[in-house]
Amino acid sequence: MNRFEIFKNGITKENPILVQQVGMCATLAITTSLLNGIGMGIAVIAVLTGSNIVISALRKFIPDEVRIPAFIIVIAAFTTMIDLLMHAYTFELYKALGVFIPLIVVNCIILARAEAFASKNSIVDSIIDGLGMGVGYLVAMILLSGIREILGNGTILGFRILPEAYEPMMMAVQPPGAFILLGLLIGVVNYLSRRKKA
Amino acid sequence: MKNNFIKLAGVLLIIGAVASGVLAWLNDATKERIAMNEAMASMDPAILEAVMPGSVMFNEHEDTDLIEKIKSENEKFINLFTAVDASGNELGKVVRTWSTVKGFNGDMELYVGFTPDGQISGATVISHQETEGLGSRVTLPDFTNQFIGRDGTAVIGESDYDAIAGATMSSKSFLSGINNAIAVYAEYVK
Repeated sequence: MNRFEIFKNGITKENPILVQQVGMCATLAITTSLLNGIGMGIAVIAVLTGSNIVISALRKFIPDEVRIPAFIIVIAAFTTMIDLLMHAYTFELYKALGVFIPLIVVNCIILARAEAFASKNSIVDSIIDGLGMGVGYLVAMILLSGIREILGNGTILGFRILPEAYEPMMMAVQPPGAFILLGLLIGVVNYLSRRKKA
Repeated sequence: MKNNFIKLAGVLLIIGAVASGVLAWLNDATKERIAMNEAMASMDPAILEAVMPGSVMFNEHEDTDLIEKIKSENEKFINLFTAVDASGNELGKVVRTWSTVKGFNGDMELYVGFTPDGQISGATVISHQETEGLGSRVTLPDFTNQFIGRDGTAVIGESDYDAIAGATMSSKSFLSGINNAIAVYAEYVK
């Protein structure tokens, strides 16, 4: 697999949200506004790429028997770093994302990439894999949170784009709306990818 | 087998130690900013605006020895702050104090702000036990605004202000708090 393929893989064929459907908890909970979605996406890119680099670099040093605890320590360290940095420099976003920043540590996609990719591949490939998967996550977050903000609030990043007369669809920003819209989004993605194959 | 066990534990120990080291350093580097963010979020913007218009934050005065000294000599004094605007420029000093004369149901707690040229920039009650709807009117701008612009170095006499009709004790308590802040400001800060 060449490097462009590795990068593209995370965005399309193995998109963590739209195809693999892992880490759904945070995805459903925080995508109530586009800014939250982007913030969470960037935080995940940082943790995923960071932990991929370190785990790939240590892949010969970490014995097989203790690889899972070792991965968890590395991922937890990166998550805590992001948590501290966001707390210090993007306070509003930190408040909005709340408990879901520390919960990145248990986001399956990060441990999955450590186990399935970074622990078996070179550092450069692992960086590209982390970025690809992270960007795939970010794209899905932008789609879902953008749709939810438009429908539920009539705005994009706080700017009103639908006229005042638009009655916000409250369900879109509530948990049931998150499930339904994510389901529809995945349906559309499946439809498009099948048509492409055919 | 035993050797293997030690090796496994050792690897985890090293990874854990390095991770803790990095986090300890980062925690130290961001500690101050985080504390400031939290303090800013906990400040009520309405109180900031009433005490020192344009301020976003009251930082504790740098000279902690001075604060201890005032505390030991003035038992109603609580703390001294520097009010700053969004870009960190100093706007003036803020005294937090109890009133020295009891109101209807006890002491009340005030913030009193002073501009750099020694005028009162504003004052507000942050805790009180006065009767709701009567004595509690000392917390309203209608009453507190009369102190804005007063000389912050001279004690205000009882004939120099308009007490709230029907809430004389509460008004006197508020005035005593202002005067205690003025006393602190005039003696230690000015």
